Amino acid sequence: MPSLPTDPLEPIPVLLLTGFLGSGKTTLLSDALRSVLGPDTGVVINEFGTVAVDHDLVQVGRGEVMQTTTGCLCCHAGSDVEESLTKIVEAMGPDGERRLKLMVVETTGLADPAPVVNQMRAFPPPAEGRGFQLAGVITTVDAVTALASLDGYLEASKQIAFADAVVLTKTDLLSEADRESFDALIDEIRALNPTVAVHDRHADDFDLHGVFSPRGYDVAARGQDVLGWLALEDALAPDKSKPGHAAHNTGDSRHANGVQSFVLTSDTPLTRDGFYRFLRTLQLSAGPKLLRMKGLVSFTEEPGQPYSVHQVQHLLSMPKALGEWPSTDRRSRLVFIVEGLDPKPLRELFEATVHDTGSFFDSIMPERFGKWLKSGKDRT
Amino acid sequence: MTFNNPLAPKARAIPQKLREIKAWVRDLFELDDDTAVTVSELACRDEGCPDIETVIGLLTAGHPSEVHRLHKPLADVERDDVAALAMVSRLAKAADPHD
Repeated sequence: MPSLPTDPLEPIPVLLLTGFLGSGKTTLLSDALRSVLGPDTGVVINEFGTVAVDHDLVQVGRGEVMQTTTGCLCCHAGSDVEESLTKIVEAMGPDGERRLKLMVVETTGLADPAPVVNQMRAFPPPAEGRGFQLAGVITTVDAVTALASLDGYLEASKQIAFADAVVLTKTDLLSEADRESFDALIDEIRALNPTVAVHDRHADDFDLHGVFSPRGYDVAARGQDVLGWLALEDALAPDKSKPGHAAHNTGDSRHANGVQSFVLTSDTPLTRDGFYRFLRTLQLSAGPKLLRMKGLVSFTEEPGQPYSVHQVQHLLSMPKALGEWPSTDRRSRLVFIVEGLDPKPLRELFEATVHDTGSFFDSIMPERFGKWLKSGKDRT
Repeated sequence: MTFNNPLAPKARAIPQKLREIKAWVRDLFELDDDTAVTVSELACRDEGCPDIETVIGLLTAGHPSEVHRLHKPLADVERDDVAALAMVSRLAKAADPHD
């Protein structure tokens, strides 16, 4: 457990955990909650879209209090950070405010940290009670897909630029052939944020305790780009420079209109072959339009066994068997975040395939892939 | 185990474009070192606005921020777009020297 301030008059330290879609934020947070964070930790998980699944993917124990919000925190119409934190304090009970030692706010993978950090820097002095104070920004960076994310999405650059701790994830998946692109990624991180501490999640000396220890978050130390983005946020908020167009309407989202989230569900278990046929077709056809897919499924062959499923851009990770269903909701459910992809044909594909009992998959897939599908549980 | 999709996302080269735009702004607006240039991208749902636009801020200590918008994504911004902004800005300042 990090050494945390216990003076009840000190503001409650808040760590912002950000990182692009599928970069491992939730996994890192789960690990921290299991091993280095104490029971007096509050967690806010913000998810893009209207359906939350990350709360089922975070394995929380020992009485941490978690609040899940939907609607991106960085969007004008999105959730309010302080309101979410206050709800945590209230949920902790009468002495919760005194007991709370740390709050962690996990953003969506598409979050622009500038408005979120601006919100957190502007926490008013509490009229009563302790109040909150930004105590660090942790950004997870997927060592395999980050260069593509940086190339395509400004949010990915900003997430790195605002960090005072970058955690490289999935470095265990890198091969020798990836060395050049990995070096280029490190160069880009250094270009965006020359002074940030870069940690390798899979290094022997990785210090999870240190990463989740609250510290003073110094905006000025993050460089001119960060100062500029924060100032621009301030300048844009009450933009009165354009008569009749006082402030641009970002509606429910500040992201491009083409980015959206939707969920596919099934009340009954899926057939294993049918589901993998769906995944394979999805992977081959959706291409770059599929930014992220995650969820929980079960199969007719093992109806009591839940699996978590993840796809990040072009990388499909093998389903991972979970010990038990994380809640009473036993439906198979997949959340998609897509850009410029019509959900309707995807929904039709899902409904047409996931209950199939045919052997389509085995007939078309390479032997190795077929083996993986048959033995996904064993190979987690 | 992971599987690579041959239809992997195409690069838009955002980091390089960001640096290019900042350099163009500094050059074409003839800015000195006291003015910081910041570039961002925002979605807008107002009728008549593009889905996504590039926002350029010129930030000088002790002065109001100067904000310029280009009605296209950051990846599509060209030097000529910035040159047009700079010209409009100069004309506006010439018309209203107190602005």
